[in-house]
Amino acid sequence: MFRLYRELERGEFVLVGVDCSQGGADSNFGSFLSANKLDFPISYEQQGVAANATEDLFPILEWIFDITGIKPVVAFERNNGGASEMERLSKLNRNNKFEIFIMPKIGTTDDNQETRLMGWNTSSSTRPILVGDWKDAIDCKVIKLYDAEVVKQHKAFIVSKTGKPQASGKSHDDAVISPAIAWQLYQRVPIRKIEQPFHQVPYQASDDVIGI
Amino acid sequence: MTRLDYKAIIEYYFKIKTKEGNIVSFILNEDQNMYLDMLYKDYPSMQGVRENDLKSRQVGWSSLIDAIGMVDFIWSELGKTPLMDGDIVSHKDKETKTLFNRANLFLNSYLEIEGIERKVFLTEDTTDHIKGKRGSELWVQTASARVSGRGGTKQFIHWSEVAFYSNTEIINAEDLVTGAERQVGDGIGKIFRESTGNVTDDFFFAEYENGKKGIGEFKSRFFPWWMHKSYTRLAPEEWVAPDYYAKVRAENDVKLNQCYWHFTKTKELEDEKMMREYPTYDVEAFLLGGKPYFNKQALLYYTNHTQQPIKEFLNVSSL
Repeated sequence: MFRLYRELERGEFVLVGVDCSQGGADSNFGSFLSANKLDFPISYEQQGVAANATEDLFPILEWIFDITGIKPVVAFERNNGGASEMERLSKLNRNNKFEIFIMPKIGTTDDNQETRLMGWNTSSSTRPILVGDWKDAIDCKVIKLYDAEVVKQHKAFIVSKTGKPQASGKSHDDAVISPAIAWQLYQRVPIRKIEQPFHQVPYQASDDVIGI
Repeated sequence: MTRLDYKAIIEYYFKIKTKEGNIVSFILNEDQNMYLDMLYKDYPSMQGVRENDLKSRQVGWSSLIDAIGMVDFIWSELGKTPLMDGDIVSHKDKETKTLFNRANLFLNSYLEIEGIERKVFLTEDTTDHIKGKRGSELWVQTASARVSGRGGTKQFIHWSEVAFYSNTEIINAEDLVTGAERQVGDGIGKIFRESTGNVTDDFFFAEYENGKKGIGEFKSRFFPWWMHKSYTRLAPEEWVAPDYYAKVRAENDVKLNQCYWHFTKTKELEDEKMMREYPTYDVEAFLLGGKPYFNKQALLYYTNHTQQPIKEFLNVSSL
């Protein structure tokens, strides 16, 4: 189910973070961040597995492009089937109406900063950045959250006895991780604007003397 | 199947002991009427009732649920409804005794009005079990490995304070509850799981969350403290309600004195356990397994700024 909190506008650049479900009671969760307004006008939450998320999200990504005129950028977390679904989503993108986020190298001095991995790769080196940057954004109230489920899961996100930030007990963290991924995209993807058609300006001499 | 008029039967026949210790007619309070209306709406025949009820302390839910169970027992003994076999299960012995005394009071007040002797109405009458002449039974038990069994058939189970059942290697709440519930056939009878919250690690938390998402057959409902209008205390004139109450006051008819009652009850919103007993939001009803990761003031800010979606949809074509 998608929850729409406000209408999208032409010229908005949307970044989409998705936490894929492992099935059962778990849900796929997607957070749509507007880079222009720093809010989340759309949330997506649906039971199922990662493959279901692709089927649900593909038409929405095209719809966003049709409204905003700017290709949204999307990243599934690569766990729980997200990696293969990123590839599938990439192949579905025949109309070239959205972009897939390519995971950068993090924690290296390598000249080539791209891993060539599609989507967000959570690892022991990237997770602290993911949740740490997101904590800064939340604590400083930089962004706007409208979705009650998102806020609820943030309340149940704790520092465990071992010091790890995680969901408490049997509560879920997919509504924490997905906006955190969208926030990483916001920081790592250059802002896109609607491409203006090129209009040739006719030559006008500033004076009668050309050259020296 | 025709539905019994539970409200009329309960209010005409049953008596209840008040918090002050007086025995009075059981007139449903505002909360109980509201809950009964919810049940009628979602289960028009009052069959196939499957409830996860997360509530504040002392709102009178278990009284109503047990009264419904007792109406089913009596009316089945009168031959007006099919036979019933029911369980009322509590988390500790002392509470079990209280529940049984209350159920007995319901039965006795009915028998008194109708002028029927208890020994004429019942064939078995022990400290935790009654059986009627036609064969309907009602058990009141403490949650343990001996509860209920798995082999028979049941039509009514009330799990009282299910979030506080023991979780040991021998028995845990999930095995106990789900095992016993298999005795209630699909689409018939009534199963009430009613509790204040405990911790996010437990069975009731997971079941409550599933019910909210529409997973499984149980409906989850949350009843915050402010729905119980008697929870109120005169606020000093200079007292200003903290931001914590902004959203709940903006969206509901919550009075300043109610907020002040909650504020003092929860030791100025600092007592985690009292916040759990009297939650404003369902997430507060379950203690967390550690310190919150995000800043509490920021979370309060975001709580106060959540909105209802303007649209919900699964397909773009529906937009």
